[in-house]
Amino acid sequence: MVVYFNMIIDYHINAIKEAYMNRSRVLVFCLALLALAFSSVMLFARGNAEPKGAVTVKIRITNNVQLFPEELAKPQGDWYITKALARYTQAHPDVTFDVTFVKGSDTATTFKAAAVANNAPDINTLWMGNYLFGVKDLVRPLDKDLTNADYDSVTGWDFVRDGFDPKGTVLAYPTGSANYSMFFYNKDIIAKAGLDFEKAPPRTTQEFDAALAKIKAAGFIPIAADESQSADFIYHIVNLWWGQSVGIPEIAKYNTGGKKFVDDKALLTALTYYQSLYKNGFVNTDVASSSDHKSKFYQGKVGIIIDGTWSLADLETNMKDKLGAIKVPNISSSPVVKDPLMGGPGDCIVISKNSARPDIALDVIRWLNSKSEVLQWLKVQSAFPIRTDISPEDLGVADDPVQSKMLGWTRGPIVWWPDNVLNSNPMGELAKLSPVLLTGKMTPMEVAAQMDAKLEDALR
Amino acid sequence: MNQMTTTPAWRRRHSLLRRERRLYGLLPVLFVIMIIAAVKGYPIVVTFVKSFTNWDGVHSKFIGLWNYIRLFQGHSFWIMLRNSMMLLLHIPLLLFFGFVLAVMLYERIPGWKFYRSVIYLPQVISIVIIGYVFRALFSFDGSVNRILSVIGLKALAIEWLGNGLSGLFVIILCIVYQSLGWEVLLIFGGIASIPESVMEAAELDGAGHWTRLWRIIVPLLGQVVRYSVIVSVMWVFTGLFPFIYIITRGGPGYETTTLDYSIYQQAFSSGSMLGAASATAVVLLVIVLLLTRVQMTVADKLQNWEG
Repeated sequence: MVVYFNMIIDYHINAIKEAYMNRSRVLVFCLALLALAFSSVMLFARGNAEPKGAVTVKIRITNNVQLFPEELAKPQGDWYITKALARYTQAHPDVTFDVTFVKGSDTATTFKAAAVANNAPDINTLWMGNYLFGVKDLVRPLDKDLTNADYDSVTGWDFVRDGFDPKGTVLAYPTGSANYSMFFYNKDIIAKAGLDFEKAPPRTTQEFDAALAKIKAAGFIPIAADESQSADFIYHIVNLWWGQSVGIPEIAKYNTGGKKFVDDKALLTALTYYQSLYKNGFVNTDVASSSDHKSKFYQGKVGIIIDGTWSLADLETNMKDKLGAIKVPNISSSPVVKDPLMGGPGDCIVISKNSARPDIALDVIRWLNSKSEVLQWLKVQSAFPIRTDISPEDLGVADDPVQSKMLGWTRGPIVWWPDNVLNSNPMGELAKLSPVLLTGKMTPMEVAAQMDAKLEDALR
Repeated sequence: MNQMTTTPAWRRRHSLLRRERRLYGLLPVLFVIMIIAAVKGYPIVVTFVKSFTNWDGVHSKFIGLWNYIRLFQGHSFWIMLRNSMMLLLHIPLLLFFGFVLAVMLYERIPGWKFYRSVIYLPQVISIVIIGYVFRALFSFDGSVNRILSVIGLKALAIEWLGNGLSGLFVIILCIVYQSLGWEVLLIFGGIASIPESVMEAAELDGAGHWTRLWRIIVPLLGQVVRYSVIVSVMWVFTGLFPFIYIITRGGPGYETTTLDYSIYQQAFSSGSMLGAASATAVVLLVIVLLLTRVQMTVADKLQNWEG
């Protein structure tokens, strides 16, 4: 070892001697040293730029909660969230924000990776349910910090309690809006097909089939969907049929093992009917690879699409008074939940366990969820907020026939998002296989068997 | 003392000097080797270890060979392996078109400088953009189907991306389009490195253009072809993620999913099954190493046979 180190020292001494003999190398070496020293000073100075007592809160936002697709085309300074956080800083000059953006579908994964590296943001938006439970060891429980005012001001607390247990630990603060999915239709096309969905919307699958046949006979695509990128039909329609047939608590039981999808008659029935829609020619031919179904709807080629309240602004802008909405028809005559809407609160904000100032983080969350801020947020996004004290007049929907109708629906029976309830592994497998299922290349039983295999892997 | 067995002093000093020089040569790069070992070696070791667990990014419990058993028992693994094998079909296409274009550039056909730039252009454009273009072209209402309908081939106007075989075909076309520039450059370099004297000698001996092409140029491109095939095979198994993600997302179902894409899906798309994804990564590593070994052995044998 001594000989080794002597060799290293001798080598470096010889190298320095050689460099000294070569003046241009010495000059470059000195300049490099100077640059290194200068940047170290700058970094050090920057690191110390924050005045004493100031707090920088790291906040990660996601699309459709604090940032909307329409805003992405604008400069960051014009975003709602930028202005909202600036207002907080105005009221609390010691608090500044370091904001990052991530897609909703990636937020749990990126939060997990950052938390494991002890670098999680103070505040992070997540989806409720199993997406939240997957990071429960990395978030700060909020039970001791919350007051009755918090519980009374917003809805959705059931879905942020660990395991959906009414007495479970509160892992996050509900936020954003309650979103609901449904069928949106083109009033002109429906009228040309001899139908009137406002007076007589189809409420059973038989009525639905008959209506779709008439739209097809009138020369239009009855339903357009895209099962390649977003599996809308599975997440928003099949899941509703399944959820209304068995109830959400039954779906939650899969997460503890002991149940098999191949034995679930309600799921198999929903998947069989889903498959029949393509077989009967009621769905666009390119459903397995389409990415322009919405454009076709706007162009007046499609009768019905699957979408939700998160797209209301876009739909109303493009369709104007041709836009109509109907609830998804019931899959059976005696479901557990009849005539439901699917959806509800879906987003929440967590405080990471490694947050240096959880008190300030909670204050920021409360502030973003305050009535004044939510009303500001509603100027940008057309949505149904989860605040309990916002009226239809506050929402400005009293004169909007589509939205006022929807608001009435939200007061009725709801099936909460089954994909947020069920373990994401089998749910992801169902979504992945949906194009081959819909086009008849796999049977519902085969898909259910694959889901069972994935659930077994997840519970291992 | 026996003079036959005693090592002369000057030889002992020379040997010591060589050892010292080797060590001095190693010292400056030792730090770099340590960094590479840390950056590349450590993740490989961790991946191998985690492949025997149910790691989800936070929790990790040893589950033995479960991940490997499930992987080989699952129907989707064989579909994904089949897909990767089918994507290897892009290699002969790439070699053929690359060779033809390289020869044309070497022969300096009129406008060769312009063609050289045009051929290389897709190599510098982002794969994301090229993928989106191909996705749009081959969509059901895309330009390809419209052209086929106009020229009376409506029966061929299928849902290209809605079927496994046709989806893989579109991906192969996209790969060939994007990689052609690299292949042409490689082969052109190989042709250009053939000594002029060899070509002149052949000409003097009465060899015509085609004879020179098939009897001199093609055989002398053996090393270039070998390198291209080895790198392309490795790339098929490890580098096609952007193409799959943009064009088909691995669908419909698993019909165009490859092993490297499934690693991403298992790890980051649903459920964070990082342990299972690690097992798939280890299997993929073994497959790539085996294939590379086989290729190099075959190439060496061919070279010896030709020699």
